[in-house]
Amino acid sequence: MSTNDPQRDVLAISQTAGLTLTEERIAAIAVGAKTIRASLEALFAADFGTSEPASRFRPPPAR
Amino acid sequence: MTTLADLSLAQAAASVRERKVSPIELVDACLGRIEKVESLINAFITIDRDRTRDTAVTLADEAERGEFRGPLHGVPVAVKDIFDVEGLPTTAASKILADASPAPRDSACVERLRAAGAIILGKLNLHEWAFGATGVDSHVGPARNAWDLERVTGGSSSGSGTSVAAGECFAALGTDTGGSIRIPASLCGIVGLKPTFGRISRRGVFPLSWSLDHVGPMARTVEDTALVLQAVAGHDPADRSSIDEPVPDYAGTLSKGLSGLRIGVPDSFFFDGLDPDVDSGVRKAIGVLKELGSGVQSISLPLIDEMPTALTCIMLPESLAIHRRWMQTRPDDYSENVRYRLELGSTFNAVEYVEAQRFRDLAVERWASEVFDKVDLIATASTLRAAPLIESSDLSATMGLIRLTNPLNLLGIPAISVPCGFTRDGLPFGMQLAARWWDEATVLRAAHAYEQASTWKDRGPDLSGA
Repeated sequence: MSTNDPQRDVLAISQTAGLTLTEERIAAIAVGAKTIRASLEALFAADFGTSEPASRFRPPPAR
Repeated sequence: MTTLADLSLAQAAASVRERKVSPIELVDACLGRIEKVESLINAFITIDRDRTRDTAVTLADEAERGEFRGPLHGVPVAVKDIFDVEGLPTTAASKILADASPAPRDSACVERLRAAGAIILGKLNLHEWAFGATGVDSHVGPARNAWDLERVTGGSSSGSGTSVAAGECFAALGTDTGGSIRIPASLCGIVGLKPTFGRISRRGVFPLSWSLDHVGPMARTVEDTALVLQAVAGHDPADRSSIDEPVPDYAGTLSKGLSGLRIGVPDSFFFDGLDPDVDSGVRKAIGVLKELGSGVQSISLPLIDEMPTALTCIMLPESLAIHRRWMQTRPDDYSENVRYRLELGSTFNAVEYVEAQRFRDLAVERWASEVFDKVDLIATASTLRAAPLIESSDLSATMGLIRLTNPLNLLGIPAISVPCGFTRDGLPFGMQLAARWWDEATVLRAAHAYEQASTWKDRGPDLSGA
């Protein structure tokens, strides 16, 4: 999300997923999204090094 | 009153093999128990009475002739209602699939259970779409905890947990995306195992999150859990998430003892905010593991604080992708809590999803090199607390239930919940033991050793006066 208006951000991004949300629902989701945004900042502060996103998750092999 | 339904799965299977008990008697015992307690605990969505009895007659005839299909011959089990069972609808406890057509074929796990001789009693209640940790949101109403009918079972494999605890079936299959096997196992006083990601086929199982869904067994003892795992584990080329790793003899290594085993007790995160009764019970259980010969040491777990967020960042968008069309056309047919979580999934952007997957890769690498080079097992509580009341099971209750389990879904490592105590209110809770990838055998061995040294498995819920 890219603006400083959480509700506007929720509206914009939910539309890209094809969802039609009422103003009431957007307001409720913006509250949850705000909490998640804060924890995402901590997550993305980590140094990911050379790790890559697996196209399909594969555990490492047995020893 | 104790009946055949109270035998362990291993005892029931042995009794059939020794021709002391027939599969018909086992089915009648389970159906009798269902008759008594089902109206109280609401564990089943579909009970396949006629076919169950027909199958029992066939298996009884085979047993009489000395023919046994496999180690579960004649033993009644049940599956969460997101596993396809040929001829029965798969509803996912949802309004949207409430009138679904019967499945045209069995899921891979049900095929394997039948091949091992098990009888499929029916399909069990769950948190709607397997998307919740309490079991409260279900189109057919919540399953209720057999230990206290006013309390949640835990979810999402809610019916699996309470049905096994109440003796309606000898074992059940559940699924676990953030803790949905281990949480109800902990809250219902039974054993539940989430194996390594890719160990058990998911073909024919309705998904919640492709990257995180695991199938696993739930039973009243560790040995029973091992027997069911043995029956369903193994590569399935028809499931693209299934991985071709050798399946060891789980039951055969249960009694090897704990000498030399290295157990790590996390120095942060897993013991923060624990209910005092749970904290005390788990620490005592770890002490028992030490007395049994294992070495216990404190261990630092890299990236643990960020892991729940990464899981959320993967699970919610994947779940919304699975439900997107229904969410566009039938949003009102979801329970409010599930709908909210799905809508929240729309707020993650593509870069965040990809970064969370990168984080997962990093977390796996660091745990492989920094945790499992030092210890063989991690020991924690399974849940922060015992079962909350159904009426007070809000979002914060959910968060308290999933906190200790969901990091292990991100890693894809095997983890078990084994009963390790009761609160002052008489509610059970579990200890979680986790090992490196593919090492379910060590998880089961340690849980079995602890179980044998404790008396928790001898206690069961009393529904006689309810």
